[in-house]
Amino acid sequence: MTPVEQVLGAMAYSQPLAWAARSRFVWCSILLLALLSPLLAACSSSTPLMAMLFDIPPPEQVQSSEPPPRQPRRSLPPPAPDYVVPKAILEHFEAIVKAGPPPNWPKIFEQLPKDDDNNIDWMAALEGKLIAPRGVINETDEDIGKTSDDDIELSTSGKPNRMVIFSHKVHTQWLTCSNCHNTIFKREAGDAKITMDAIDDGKYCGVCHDKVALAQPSGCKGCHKPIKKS
Amino acid sequence: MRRAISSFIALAWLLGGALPTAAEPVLGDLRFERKTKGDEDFPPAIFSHWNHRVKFKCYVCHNKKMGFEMKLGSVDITMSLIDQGKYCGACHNGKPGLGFGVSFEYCARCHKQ
Repeated sequence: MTPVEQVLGAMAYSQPLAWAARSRFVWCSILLLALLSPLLAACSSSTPLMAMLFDIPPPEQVQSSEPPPRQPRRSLPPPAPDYVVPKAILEHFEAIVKAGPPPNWPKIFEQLPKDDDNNIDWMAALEGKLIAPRGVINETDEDIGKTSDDDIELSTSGKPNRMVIFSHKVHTQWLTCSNCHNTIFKREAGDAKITMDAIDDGKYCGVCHDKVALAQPSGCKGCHKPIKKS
Repeated sequence: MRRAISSFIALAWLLGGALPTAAEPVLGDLRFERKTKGDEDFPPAIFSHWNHRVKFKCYVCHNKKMGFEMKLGSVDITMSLIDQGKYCGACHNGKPGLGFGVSFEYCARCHKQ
């Protein structure tokens, strides 16, 4: 038996075993190839796929030489709540703003017309439209004031030079009927005997006049206007 | 922000508000008479007619609803009644916006010597 025959004989003898070994090797190789080939294909293929699989920046991202800044972890404080002004206070101040500044009373007093005794001439202020007093507290309320424009001739002594002509028109720009009638004056003219003494005692005209009101001009001539002889 | 500014302006107005007084007494200024006992050291209030007349006619206050009689001393006005919204408190109720003073900011505005 030649050495060649011996080798061939051994090969022939061990063929089934060898075939089995060779078969396992082939299957393993096929499996490995099947697993690796997509990876290899990916590596050798386009960059986006590379970016998806590996830690490299995608092509559209600009390459930065500096590494991204990293800061130490810290816990942020909770955000401060917005300070809310209470609604009532806010409304109060808004109403003040809406109302405007308070009147400058010393200046208003200075601008009011005065008579010779430096008392306020209210009728001149009213007629000159320097003031426009309201008849109601709120502008939306109903004005209870009534006006009248008849003149009453009052003469207690009967002397024409002491005649007093009472003007309803002047008085009802300030007052309404019930202020005087029927407590201070009866409705009918001539019911009361109005004397200067009674007025000085604070009755009749003296309830207001010389206290809060003055006839203009003050003194006798304010009311006792001599009737002009026509 | 706008509200903050308006509040600030309002405060400035409040602090800088002129007092409703003339330099000298005016015809129609009334000194009320104190009827309660124990507060003799505290001056009774002064009512100034003229600055009320600038804005209002007589019958706004001198009527049955408001209760101000024509004669001084006819009605007893107390601070508790005012706080209930009667007499002066009908207007001076702490609510601004009607053109009156905001409130009685301090006692001495009326209770003055």
